[in-house]
Amino acid sequence: MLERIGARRVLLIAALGVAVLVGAFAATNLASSTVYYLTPSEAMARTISAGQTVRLGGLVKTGSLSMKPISFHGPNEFEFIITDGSVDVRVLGRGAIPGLLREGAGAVVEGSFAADGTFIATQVIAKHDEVYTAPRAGATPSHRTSFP
Amino acid sequence: MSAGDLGGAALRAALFLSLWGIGAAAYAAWRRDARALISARIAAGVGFGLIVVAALSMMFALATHDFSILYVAQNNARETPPFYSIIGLWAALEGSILLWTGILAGATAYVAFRGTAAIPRLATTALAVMFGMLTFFLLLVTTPAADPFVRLAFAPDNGNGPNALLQNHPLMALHPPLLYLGYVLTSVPFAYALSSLILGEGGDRWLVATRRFALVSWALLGVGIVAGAWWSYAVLGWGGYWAWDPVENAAIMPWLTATAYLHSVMVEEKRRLLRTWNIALVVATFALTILGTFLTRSGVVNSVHSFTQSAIGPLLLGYLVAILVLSIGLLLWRSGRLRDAGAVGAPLSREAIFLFQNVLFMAAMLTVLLGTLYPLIAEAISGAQLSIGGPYFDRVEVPLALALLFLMGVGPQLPWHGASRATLERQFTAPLVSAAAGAVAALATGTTGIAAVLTYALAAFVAATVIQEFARGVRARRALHAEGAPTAFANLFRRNGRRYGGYVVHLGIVLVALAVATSQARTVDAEKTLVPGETLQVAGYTVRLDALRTVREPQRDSVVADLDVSGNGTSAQLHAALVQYPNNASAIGSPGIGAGVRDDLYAILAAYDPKTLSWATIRMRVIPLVSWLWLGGAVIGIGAVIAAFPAPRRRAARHVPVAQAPAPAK
Amino acid sequence: MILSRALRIAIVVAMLGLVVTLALAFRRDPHDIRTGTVGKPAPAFTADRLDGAGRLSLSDYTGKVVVMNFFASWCLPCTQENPALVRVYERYRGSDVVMLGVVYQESRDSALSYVKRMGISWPAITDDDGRVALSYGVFGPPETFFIGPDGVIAGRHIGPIDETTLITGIEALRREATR
Repeated sequence: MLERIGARRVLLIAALGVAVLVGAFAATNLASSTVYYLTPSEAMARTISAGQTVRLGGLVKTGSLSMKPISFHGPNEFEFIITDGSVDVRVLGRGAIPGLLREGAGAVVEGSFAADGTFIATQVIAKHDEVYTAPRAGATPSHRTSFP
Repeated sequence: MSAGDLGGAALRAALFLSLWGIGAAAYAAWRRDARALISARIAAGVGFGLIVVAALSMMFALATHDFSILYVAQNNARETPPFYSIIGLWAALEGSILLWTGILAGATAYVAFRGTAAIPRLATTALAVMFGMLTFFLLLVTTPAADPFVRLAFAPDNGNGPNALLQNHPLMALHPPLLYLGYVLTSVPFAYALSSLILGEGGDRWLVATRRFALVSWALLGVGIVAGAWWSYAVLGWGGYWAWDPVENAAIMPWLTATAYLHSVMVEEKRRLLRTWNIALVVATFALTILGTFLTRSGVVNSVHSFTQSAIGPLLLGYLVAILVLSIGLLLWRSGRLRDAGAVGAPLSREAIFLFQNVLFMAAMLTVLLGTLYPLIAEAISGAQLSIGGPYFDRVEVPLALALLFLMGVGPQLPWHGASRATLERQFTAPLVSAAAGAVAALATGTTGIAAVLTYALAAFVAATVIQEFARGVRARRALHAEGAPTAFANLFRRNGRRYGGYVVHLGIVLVALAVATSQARTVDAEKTLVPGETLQVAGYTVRLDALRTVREPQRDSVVADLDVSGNGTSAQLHAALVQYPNNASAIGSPGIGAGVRDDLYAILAAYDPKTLSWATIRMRVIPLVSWLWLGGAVIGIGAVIAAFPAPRRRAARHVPVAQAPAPAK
Repeated sequence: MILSRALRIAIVVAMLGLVVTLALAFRRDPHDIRTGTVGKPAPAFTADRLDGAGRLSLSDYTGKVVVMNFFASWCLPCTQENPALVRVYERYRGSDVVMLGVVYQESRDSALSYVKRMGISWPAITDDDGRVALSYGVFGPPETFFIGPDGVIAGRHIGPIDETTLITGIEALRREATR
């Protein structure tokens, strides 16, 4: 009987240990995997430190999108300005320009700020998201009126 | 009378029958009234028939392009091929809910006819619960929340066509219905568990009665998740199969708790322990299916298919709250009657490992839930918009998965109550040697990364335990029954399908683990802009762009890159395309995939010269062992079928003590 | 196992937290990709009128309240919201409130026949290259923008709009203008 109680205690301690361990591990990883979703103005106001991964959402400024091949067969480099009307951010990226990235259209880019304030995009998420939540013709997804 | 009128009328009639069914079943259970039960059975049977009629009339309306129905106008076009027209039933919210309702009605009818015949009072109360759930879904499809048969004042000449992603691959016919079947069938164990609580039964009868349902729903969910990963791989064109998207998380969470339940149920059967815990797991599994539906259908999170709005979000939330209040309330009220009939044995006993495994599965579920809901929590508290990246899930879930893989090898090797030193040596010598060999093999083939090497070692460990079990089973049968080896092998499945089918499932999991570890660790990428005739090199393969051409079909226009891939002893013709559907803002990628036992060749047309089609940017991925993932899914399904298959009657008759065990004193 | 009091409370609190979080999530619009056009000057444009009667600029309406509605004939919610637009147009006809339709991703012919059929008598413009929609960050039709006399976007409504929302939005801007 004593052995039984001992076993129970061992199990309970093991379970609690796992819970604490996993909880702490999850909490630390949660903090480091958090990607804030900001407009250029918010990014400016919050002074995001260089190197921190964020998502930046805004409009691709008309006339700002350019693509220059580093060499024809190599990866391309693209550049555009993302804006929310008051703050402009220069975005640099590498690879093929996603089909939906158009001037004047909304875009979300993930990446980080370089020291000079240029945004280095690792991913143009709009591609991912827009394909997913494609503005399905007619079936407009949300009803919301926003008045400031 | 048009198809739409017929369907709408059938659903309304079914709603009344379902409401009647709640009362009739509840009265039958309360008064033990046979006539009321017959009435409830008729309501269930006819109600199911009516919903089938409604679903068929929707399919008919889709196939005949009846654009006077809003749903058809939104999710179908004249150009949509017949196959994609018919599976348009689950292309959007309203149709999906209709399909869900139909499956739920089928399960209700099953409980009404088969269940109540086996254990009348428990099943009749469960039937009332089933009717309650069915009524909720019938309310959804007969009110504007999700009415699939809303008419248009005037019919447009043509409809919008289905969402481009949903008409680009035949897997769409398979993956949603499998998931819905898995989701909905979890409601049967839930209804029985609730019924057991309502009646105040302390015993395990509900669990024995729904064992097969729990297994089948778990298997459908698992196979549905793998099919979904396959769809994502073959359609979304990003070269992966799992992105920790809220929709994927919504499906994996109930699967995790259901897996925990399938194991802890054995502890209750063999040792009469964990009674409260098992009910909690069944409730959690069911509640998570509703939570998942809420998350993906209410539009509160960004995700695949989160294209809906309508009043369904608040209604689903209300339903979830009702389920939680009812089941947690009952559980707290009745917890005094759910006394365990003993205590857990030594830490090295099978029940202890199962318990520990349960703790890990719960930890996995809760961390996925946390990651999925954290953006909502953060926004509710601070107003900041954020997202949780894949790295969180990878870093947290991979160690948990590895620990579970380890326990998967250990658990079945330990006897109930506790193991002696001799037993441990006998059971674990071969598997440990095998694990070491697995690790050496991994390192020898150049695998890097602790997680990948550990996965190989643990996979070898588990595979060895399974082979050892089969070898011993066959040897024992040969000695006892004088059977030949193949007969003995087949009889293991026939006589003890639950145990040996379970081992087959474990092998399937091993395949999945190997596929995930290898494809994550060793995928090679290359991207290059090519003029037709030029080649790019990747991982020993030579990829040549043969031609770039446009293809016009009635329902879509595509630009296709024809690629010739050769190297490593194989060759393949791949066709990577960008497909433009009308009424869709942007073109979607359609990867060219050359599936192989060793490597999958995955070609993406990233960009091309739209004016002259003179060049194309090709992204080429070589993804090793990814096809083992689909194979593993199939093996899991086969194992589940073996486990769910009834044992021959003679043996089954000798094996019922749990069901007849007296309930503990109140 | 009888659940301890602390565990009972913990379960109830956890579930309550879950439900409250989920309920609060309804405040958020998952498709708002933060283009942030509300509160900003409305992007200027000059475009062809759908009826072929020359061109039309946003600057023609400076000093007026503009209700700008993006629509298409293939958009079913647009047909749902149309009666509300018609009624509100009649209500403010001849006042300092103007309504302007913008055709979203559609050919002129089908848009023209839609406008006739639905009784749309306010001016509409074509947006062949989608530039107007893009500059306003339109998610998809129907979408309605409220532009004040000062030329600033004061409000935005995604999805079919109703009469009350229209009138509330318009009246808020008129009050502001007279102040």
